[in-house]
Amino acid sequence: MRVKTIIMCVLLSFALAATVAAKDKRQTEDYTKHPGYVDFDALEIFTDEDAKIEVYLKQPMLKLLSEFAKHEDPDLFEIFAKLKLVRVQVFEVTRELAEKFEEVSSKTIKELDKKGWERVVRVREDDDRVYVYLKPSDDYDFIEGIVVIAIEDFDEAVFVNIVGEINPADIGRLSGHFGIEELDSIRYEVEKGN
Amino acid sequence: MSKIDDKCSWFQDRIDLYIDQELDRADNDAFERHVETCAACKEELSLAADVVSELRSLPTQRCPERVVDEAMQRASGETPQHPIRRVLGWLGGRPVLTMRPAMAAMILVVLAASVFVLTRHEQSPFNGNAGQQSVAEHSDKELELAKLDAMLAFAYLGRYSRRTVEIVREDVITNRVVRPLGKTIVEPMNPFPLDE
Repeated sequence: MRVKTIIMCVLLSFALAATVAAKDKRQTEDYTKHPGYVDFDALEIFTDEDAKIEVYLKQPMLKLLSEFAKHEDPDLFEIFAKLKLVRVQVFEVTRELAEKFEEVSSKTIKELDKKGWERVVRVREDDDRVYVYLKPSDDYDFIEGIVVIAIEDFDEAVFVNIVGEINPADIGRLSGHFGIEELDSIRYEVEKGN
Repeated sequence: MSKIDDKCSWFQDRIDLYIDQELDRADNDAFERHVETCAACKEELSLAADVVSELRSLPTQRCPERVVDEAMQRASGETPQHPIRRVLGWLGGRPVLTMRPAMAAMILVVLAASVFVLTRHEQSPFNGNAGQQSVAEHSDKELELAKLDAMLAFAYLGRYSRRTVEIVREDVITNRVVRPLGKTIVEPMNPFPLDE
């Protein structure tokens, strides 16, 4: 009977481990193993208090948004349905922290260069540092990932990662559609309930 | 009484019924009258009667107990034991429903742990949007805010793209191409040098 009990325990443990692994895989593999995903180590230098904006939208919500907003502009918001992840993190930083961010992010930037990402913007001017990288698909038909790493006036650090199937023409349409200040203003109105 | 067109054929069809005494009285009389007058049919009847007699004289075989049990279970409305049930019965040493309480408690603990682990995983930071969702699960306000959040990523992309264009226009084209070019063209023709 003791042997049978052990066998039963082992079988149940395997079943539990398999269930958890399957669940875990389903939730993470689409994003972290996607070629357009960037694991940005530099963010570890920030604390929760430094965070000004944190956006982390995954595929199910993006599809939902596409459905929700399609009556406004079907072509524009259909783009969201093809995205797997939208991540925006903005931190308020001191000059010291901004310099540290620049130093640590340079490691990620080197890795992007090695992994076939294409640098489309590199600005090093006074107190501004901006890097924009695109990850083209193997056949260059679409873009698999976009990364923005920026430091503005050495008091704000920005990290953006957009993952999914992105048509280059769509980038211009979406990025030109709204300004950050305009979005802030709309958000304020929505939160107020107007 | 049945109409008889071909007596022998009619007779052949009714041998078994005659032996089993299942013919009605009229047919039975007709059958016997025909046998008395037809030697071939009489021989056929004799042969069939011998075969039946031989079969009935064979010893009876005992039905396997398992078959009898299953038949009895079916008759009383119980279903026979399924192979999986038999394996579980083996693991418990007895039928599943009477498995020892310790085993049942262990399964409960494992199930509770599974639920806890999976629930905790879903509630980890940044995982609020995991899984299948529908528009009905979110208020319009929540979706509107999420839409603005998604737009924000592209807005930052647009901001830095526009800034890059400005830098290229101001710093590269104006300051490093147009102005030096202007100086080289205008200065030799103008006695008064351009202000820097």
